Amino acid sequence: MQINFNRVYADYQLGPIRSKNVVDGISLELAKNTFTAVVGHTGAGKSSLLKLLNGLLLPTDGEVSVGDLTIDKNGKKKTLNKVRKRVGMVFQFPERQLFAETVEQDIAFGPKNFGFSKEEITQLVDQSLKQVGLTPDILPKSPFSLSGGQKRRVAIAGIIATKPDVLVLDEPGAGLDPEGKQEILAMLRTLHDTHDSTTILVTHDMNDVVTYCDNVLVMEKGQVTTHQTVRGLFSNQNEIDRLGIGLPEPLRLQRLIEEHTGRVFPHVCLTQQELKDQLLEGAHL
Amino acid sequence: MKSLILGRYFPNDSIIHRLDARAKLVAALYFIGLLFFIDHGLGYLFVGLFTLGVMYLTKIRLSVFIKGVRPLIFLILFAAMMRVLFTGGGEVFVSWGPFTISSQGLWVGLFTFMRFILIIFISTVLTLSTKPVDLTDAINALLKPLRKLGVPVDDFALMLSISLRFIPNLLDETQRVMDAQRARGVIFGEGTIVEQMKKLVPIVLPLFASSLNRAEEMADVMDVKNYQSGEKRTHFRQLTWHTSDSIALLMMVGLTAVVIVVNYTMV
Repeated sequence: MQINFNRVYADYQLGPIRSKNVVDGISLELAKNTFTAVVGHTGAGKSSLLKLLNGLLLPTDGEVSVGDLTIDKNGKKKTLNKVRKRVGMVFQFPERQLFAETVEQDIAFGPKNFGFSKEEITQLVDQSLKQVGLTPDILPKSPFSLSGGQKRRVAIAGIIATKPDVLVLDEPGAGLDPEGKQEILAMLRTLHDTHDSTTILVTHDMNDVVTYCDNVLVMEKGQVTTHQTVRGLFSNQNEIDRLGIGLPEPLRLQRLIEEHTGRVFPHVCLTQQELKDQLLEGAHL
Repeated sequence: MKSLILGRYFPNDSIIHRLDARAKLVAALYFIGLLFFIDHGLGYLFVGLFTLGVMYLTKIRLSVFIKGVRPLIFLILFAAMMRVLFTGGGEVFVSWGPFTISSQGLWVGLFTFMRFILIIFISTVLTLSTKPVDLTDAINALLKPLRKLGVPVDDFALMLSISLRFIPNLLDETQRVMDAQRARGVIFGEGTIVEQMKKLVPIVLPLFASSLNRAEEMADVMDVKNYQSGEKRTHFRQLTWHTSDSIALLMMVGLTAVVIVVNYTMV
């Protein structure tokens, strides 16, 4: 599903404190079936950008459109609910939203709210459970009795069970062990590829960006400073310096090798595999 | 939730903000007590003007105070109406069964209304202009004499300051959980009362779970840092008493004098 931001401004309010323009006139276009990473420092407006997509935060000016639905500052309830069905949102630490007595009820909560039939719900629960890599024996358990990684998976299952066209995730791997994090991200990539969905992922880890994402969107002070392909961004060292973002590990190693040997690699290596191939090729010479 | 003003601190730099928390707390409690002894319109006019003056001195916009009253206005009007309807005496305008509207009743109703509004205004002044931690320190200082009777005053103050400390976190968390459930298709503020009550479960349960977790972590951390209750300890923040604080209390004495004079001369 195509997503458009048309000169969107938004404020953030917490209690009596109002932060003006945490999203400061953003215009952007996210094409269908793309996997986009959103990176930027804390307070750059990433979370607000995600909330705008879902109508949880309404723009003060401008409009956000998801497919044929448009959200503006008036945000009609009916449209918002349609948008929320279309856009599945996985918050940071999504396991904090678990509440039901059993895993099954918790996963079924979203589909039920969006008006799926009973048969559909049973099917959706099974399907999404499989997609997040869990087995049905977990269904009658209490979500509070599970381990951290399992809770996270159940929470994500609860979101994808609503069959969203767009999946938005705010650091889905935060607080998990490295292995668990890789598993979750790999699972999300598979899900993206098999369902032709549009995925937006907020992350701080450049290794995740190069491993799982097609495009990257860099934010700073409520504005988008660049939006291009992952390879395009990391091929341009000047751009990286200007934006002040870090390098993925393989590329950093490549730069170190280049610095020490004085030999410049023919192209940038974003993954371990690429770097390995490149080095082996070099060894033959 | 966002409109809840009572109990919130507004950082600012004003005479009222700079007053010692102990002085403010004592003065506010005393003032509220005093309100119940006024039985003449002129007295209410006087303390009303005094309250407005104090509100002006906080340099906080009047609209903020009004916002603080708004959620309670129906309760106040209801209480005032009851007083109007059930108080007889003076000239009777309307009488219907047990209900009467009389001149005496109207006055009493007006007084009740004024009393509530002024109580809210003055407590709002107190909380808007005093940091919660200072307020707990003040409570701790004022309760100190009870320590001699074996009351665990310090533990009580610590409990109070911890709870106050976590109110913003709890509000933040509530917002987050509500957003998460909204994203899962919950529409708050719609449907029958039973339906709306059911919608609270997905908010309250995660909040309970996280609060219990946090409390446990907090207790562990305090144990690790070897916190012992009942130990004598010094304070990081020191409350200091200035001349202005004495003046504030003297003004309360003056106010009392005025109220007494008005009560006895204007019968």
